[in-house]
Amino acid sequence: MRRVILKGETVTLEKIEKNFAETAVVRDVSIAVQAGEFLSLLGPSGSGKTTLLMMIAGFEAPNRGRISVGTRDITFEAPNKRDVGMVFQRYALFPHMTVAQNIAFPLRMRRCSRAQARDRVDAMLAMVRLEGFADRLPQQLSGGQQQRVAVARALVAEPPVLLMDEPLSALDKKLRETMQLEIKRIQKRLGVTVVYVTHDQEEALTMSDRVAVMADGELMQVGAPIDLYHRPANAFVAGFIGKMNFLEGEYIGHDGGEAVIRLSQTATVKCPTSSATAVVGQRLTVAIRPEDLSVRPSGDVRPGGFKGRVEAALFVGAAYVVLVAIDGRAGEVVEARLPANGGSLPLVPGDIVDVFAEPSAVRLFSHQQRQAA
Amino acid sequence: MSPDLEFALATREMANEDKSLVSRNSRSLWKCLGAVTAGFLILLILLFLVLPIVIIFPMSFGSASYLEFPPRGLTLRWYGQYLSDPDWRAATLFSLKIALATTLSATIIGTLAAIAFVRGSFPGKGLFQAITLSPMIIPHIVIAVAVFLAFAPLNLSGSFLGFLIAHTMLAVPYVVLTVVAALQRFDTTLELAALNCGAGRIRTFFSVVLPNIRVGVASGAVFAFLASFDEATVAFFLSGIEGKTITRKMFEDIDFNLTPVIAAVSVVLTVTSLLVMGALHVFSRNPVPAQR
Amino acid sequence: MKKAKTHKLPVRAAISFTKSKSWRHYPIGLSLILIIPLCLLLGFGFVYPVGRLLGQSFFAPDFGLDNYRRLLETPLYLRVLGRTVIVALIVMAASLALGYPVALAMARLRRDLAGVVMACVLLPLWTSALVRSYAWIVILQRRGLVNDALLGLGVISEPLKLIYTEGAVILAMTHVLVPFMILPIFGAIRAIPTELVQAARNLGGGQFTVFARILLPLSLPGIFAGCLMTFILALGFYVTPALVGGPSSLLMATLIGQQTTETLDWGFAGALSTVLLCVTLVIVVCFRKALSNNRGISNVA
Ligand SMILES: Nc1ncnc2c1ncn2[C@@H]1O[C@H](COP(=O)(O)OP(=O)(O)O)[C@@H](O)[C@H]1O
Ligand SMILES: [Mg+2]
Repeated sequence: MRRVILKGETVTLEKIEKNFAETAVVRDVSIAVQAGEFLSLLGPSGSGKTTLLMMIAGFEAPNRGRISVGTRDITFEAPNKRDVGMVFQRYALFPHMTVAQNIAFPLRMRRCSRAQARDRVDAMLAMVRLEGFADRLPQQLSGGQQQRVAVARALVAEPPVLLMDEPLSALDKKLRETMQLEIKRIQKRLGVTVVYVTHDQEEALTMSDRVAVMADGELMQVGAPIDLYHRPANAFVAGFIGKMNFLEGEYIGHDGGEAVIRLSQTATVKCPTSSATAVVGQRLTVAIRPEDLSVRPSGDVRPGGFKGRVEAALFVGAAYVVLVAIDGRAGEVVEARLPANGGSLPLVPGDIVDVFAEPSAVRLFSHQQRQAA
Repeated sequence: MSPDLEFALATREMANEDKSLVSRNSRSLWKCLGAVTAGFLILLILLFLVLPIVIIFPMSFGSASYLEFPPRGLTLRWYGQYLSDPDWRAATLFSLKIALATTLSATIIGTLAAIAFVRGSFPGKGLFQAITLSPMIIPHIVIAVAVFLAFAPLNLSGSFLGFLIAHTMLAVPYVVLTVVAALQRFDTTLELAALNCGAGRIRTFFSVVLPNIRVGVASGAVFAFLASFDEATVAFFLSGIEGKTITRKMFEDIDFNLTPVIAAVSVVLTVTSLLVMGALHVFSRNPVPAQR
Repeated sequence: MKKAKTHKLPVRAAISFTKSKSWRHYPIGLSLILIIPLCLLLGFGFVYPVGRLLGQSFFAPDFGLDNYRRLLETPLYLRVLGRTVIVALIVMAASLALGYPVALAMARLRRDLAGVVMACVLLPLWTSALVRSYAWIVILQRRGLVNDALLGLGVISEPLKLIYTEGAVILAMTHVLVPFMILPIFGAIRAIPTELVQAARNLGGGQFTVFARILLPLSLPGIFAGCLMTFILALGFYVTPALVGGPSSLLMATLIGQQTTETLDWGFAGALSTVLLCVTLVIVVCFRKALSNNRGISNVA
């Protein structure tokens, strides 16, 4: 049995645009995927992820823009000539063929010899751990097994690029996590470039080298998971990835090296000036992650902090989640996430507390951006 | 004549699902009486449907030279006469030849058209579909007379080619309907998957699409065969002295000399139809085709 | 943009023609190639002959509306037209009366029994109309089964004239067309959710109430489709009236046949065909919606 070894290639999308009957579904998207990289397309349903993937696979042609794999321009190449593997959302296994025949299909299309094809199919079956299932029909397999067959079929012809469209969305949570590891393992081993579509941010963050966030046909940000989390380019990304408190405020000036934002008569937050290029009086949106807020029983309000009243304090296992109503802002609540540290929380609903955010963890977005998101 | 197809779909559904409607035990005498009466009525209607066809069978084996029921003795004489009569043999062979060729051409033409109707886009598609199906609705007498009028001057009447064209035209709607239904059930991502695996359009069709719509195509083929083999109206007008179908020959013999041979021929026709439909049934039950 | 290579055959070129924006649908070129055979077939085998026949009505023997005038001015022909419509209506009504109970039984019975009923419906459907008409001749003729039986029982002393009458035509045609009534109604009743019927029973509805309030109204589309189908087929049916009917029961179809085989009057045959065709098409167009409830046709049209 020979080992399956693959080498990934770059995938370059340049200014891709796609309209379906006048409606722009993908707008001016440019992404450069590195060779061997695992890149996720992440976005809410309807944001154009599938359409983008279909254009890479060749099932749709872009109205404008260029797609290349390595140095090869494949923008208008027929899908069967692209050498780009694809795993479909509902597996799309051929129901009239056995597992082995499904996996061998791409080889047959490439006029591979019988014996060679058999070796390759066996190698793929071993790789996806389905050795005993060669002669089963797809409908005799579980969802997870069908998924593995689909992966094997997509990779058997050793394409430099693998596309996956929400491949795990039909599986239950437990199986999904197993399959995530499995897919990562295979990708690491083969070195194939993967473009992976998902609407599940957790999945995108755990699996990807980089994540491309899409909304409404537009590319919002491309970056490593940690960058997206800590340095979101706009309010949409900030809100879509992880939990985020958004608060409306007014820029009222500097205090030392920090900008001061007024949330209410009594409440202000501070943030680094570098992220505030505003004029005094401008309305801005403040974004703070729950784990970047600290909550203490009331004392003196430190500059940059504000008072509030505990609405609820919940134990969620690894942490406490505390909901605090901001003093002077009717009905508005921020969520704070405090490490549990084994001790019990000295806070009960009704307590007056001080809420403080480290200036470096506070981000500002312009008002319009927030609206758009 | 879509009920054929309606039925094909209905039986398939019936095979798939397993809900049985058990009529509740009726308690009161009235209900009981009502049920018995209703059952009796339905039995009568079913006898009306079936008996006229069933009585032909014993009749074709009856020994008397005129038709009698019940027959006094049994004989295969009429089958013998049917088989030994060169006219009947020629007519049967001619009909078979036409029906087989019609099956082939209607299945191919109808399948191609069904693909274009479901997956393609071209101007005037709706109108074209209507015209394609219209031979099922337009009175066959009009078609028969029209075809005869148009084909006679071209020496096509009574010819194999003339029948092939006319019968294919009559049979194509059945194929189009069954294949369209099958294609609509077919998951098109399988086609995308095949393209992605490196298969071209044509390879994709033969390796992936066709195996998955095969039951629809086979149903269409069987309906096409019967639409030709059992067809009597066009055959009546288009037949010539030489080229005569089994139905035309039967038509003539019923009008002129009503012998038990016709009963034998009727049995042959009926059994052929039932065999062909039975074969289709067996074929559609087989879930997976033999591969490689 | 990559162009289709010129050295390829036209078919291959059209297939690999990648200018189409989506591979989910076939490009126009390929679609057209796929329907060319059907185009040729229908053009030569259907549109041209039918068009030519209709044309004959205006051109043979002379240009004008003479053929239609003759049709309208001859009481015999008007009677045939009227009789055709009436016979078709009677056949339709008889089919409904016989077909509805069977369809209902088929949909509501236990599966094995329903299968038996279904087989009884399909046996005639899969049997040639010619064979079925022949069977009716055997039954109704002068020395046929009915007369034999009645004579044997001493009910009558002379054989009755049963065959070659309008009654015989109606009887045989009903037998041929009942399955076309049963199947759409069966489809409609089967589509009624079982829960609906059960709910009605639980709410205290009796057999009759459930039938009148639920089954009958919800099976109306099937009834409509079945009636339309049987009526249209009865209007233009040739084989059965030609074999079982006589001169006194001439219908449009048999009259057209007579004009072409006996009197060879193509112009008049054309006019009759035009009238029959128009009546059929008008009915179909008016009740298209009912027909599209009939699943078989709705799949395409
Ligand atoms: N073939 C099509 N025709 C018209 N609109 C389409 C088509 N495919 C997708 N769309 C539209 O494009 C938008 C993006 O769809 P899609 O790429 O499937 O989003 P996602 O995969 O991110 O959920 C949606 O609004 C969808 O309605
Ligand atoms: Mg999608």
